[in-house]
Amino acid sequence: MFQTSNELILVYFAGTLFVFLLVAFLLLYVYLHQQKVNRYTLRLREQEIKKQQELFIALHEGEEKERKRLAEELHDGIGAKLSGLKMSLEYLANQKQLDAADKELLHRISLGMNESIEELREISQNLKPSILSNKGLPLALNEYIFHLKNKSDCYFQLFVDDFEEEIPFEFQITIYRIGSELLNNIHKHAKATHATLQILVSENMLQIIAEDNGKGFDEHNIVTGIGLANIKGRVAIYKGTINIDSSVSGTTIIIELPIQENK
Amino acid sequence: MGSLLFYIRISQLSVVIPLISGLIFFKKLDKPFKLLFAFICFSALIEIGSSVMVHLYNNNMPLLHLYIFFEFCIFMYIIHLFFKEKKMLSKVILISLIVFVLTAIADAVFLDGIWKFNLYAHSLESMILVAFSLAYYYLFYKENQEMLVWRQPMFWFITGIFFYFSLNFFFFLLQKFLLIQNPSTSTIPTFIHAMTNIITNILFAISFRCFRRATN
Repeated sequence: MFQTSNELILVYFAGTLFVFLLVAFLLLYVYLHQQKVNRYTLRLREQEIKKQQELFIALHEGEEKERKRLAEELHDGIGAKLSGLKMSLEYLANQKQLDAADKELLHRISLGMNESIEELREISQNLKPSILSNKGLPLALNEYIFHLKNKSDCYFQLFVDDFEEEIPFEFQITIYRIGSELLNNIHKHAKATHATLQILVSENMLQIIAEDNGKGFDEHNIVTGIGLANIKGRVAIYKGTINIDSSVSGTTIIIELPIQENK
Repeated sequence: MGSLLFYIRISQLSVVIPLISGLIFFKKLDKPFKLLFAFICFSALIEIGSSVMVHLYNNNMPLLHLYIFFEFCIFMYIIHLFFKEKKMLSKVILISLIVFVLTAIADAVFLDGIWKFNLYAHSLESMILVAFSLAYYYLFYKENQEMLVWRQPMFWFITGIFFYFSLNFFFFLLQKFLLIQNPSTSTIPTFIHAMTNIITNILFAISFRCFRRATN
């Protein structure tokens, strides 16, 4: 069949080389195709994330509008009616024909009414922090802390960098919501005597740092409440990161939000 | 020849690679790959048996006949499990199996004999397995455009088969002339065969490793 061993080896090498080239070509095709698939999958994932973010932002905006509407309803509707009732009660309490027991009762009702009006105002204020648009973020948070101080034994401190002009109002609302939620969590759960909230801006990054000397919590073992879940959700919408360091001697939460992407 | 023998020994020992990988992920393997693992164990035994036979009779061809028979049947069964929903391909697999079994028996009994290299069975096995490997690639890319092939154990198994049998097809076909009639010409082909065997064993080991993500 083969005249010489050279002829034989030639047939072997030619055949094997041909097959080798075919194998190499096929594997190269597989490799290139996979690269293409990878790119396609990545693009799909990015599109999906973008779509989700848009959806979150739309929901977030809707939520803010609804909060505003509710705040106005409460303030202008129930708030106004309660104020009217309070005035009527005060008028009634000043009538001379009432005996001392009735006056005492009316006085107590009036006090209760006052407290209700105050609480309603607080809820309305939280729902739509008009002070945020009127006087800016530091004063809005200061106001929030002022209300907390009345109800809490904790000493709250606030440090806010001067940045308002660099940041759109919608983003400021988010910062306010995150800040107030962090403060509220400290007030409700931390049992702290001292807490600080810092809002700092450095190199296109906004940092929200909340520190307290409370009892701490185990991040992995807590049943995530609405508060922390809300914070995480808002941070995710604005492509930020959240870092929680908690021990029995206190908690530090650092949230970083990119400014440029959220302008 | 000393260094060639060294490569042959390394090639024989390389069966340990898929053996270890298979052992590590055994609990997570699915049915076809448990079968592949059983075949790898069988290969390891055959390697030991071959060395013993060479020592005793200076010829291990009867074991090679047996090995090729089981190798083809098991590989085809694994491929059949993958293609079982393709009725046409299942029929082709069955026909291929019958043709191969008849050829292997004829080769062992009438053509080459049990003490000689089973040229016909080996060449036929290579052709059929390369053809089914190509069918796998074609169907995989036709039906799974968005799937990551690196994570598919079947891909690594088929690539191992494709790599080994396509590159050694001419080696098997010309075995008689290369090894027996012109032993001086067989150095490089034997070396290539040893290398492809090692690479194939590594690819089989990777196929087992793909199951590390699977949960039972």
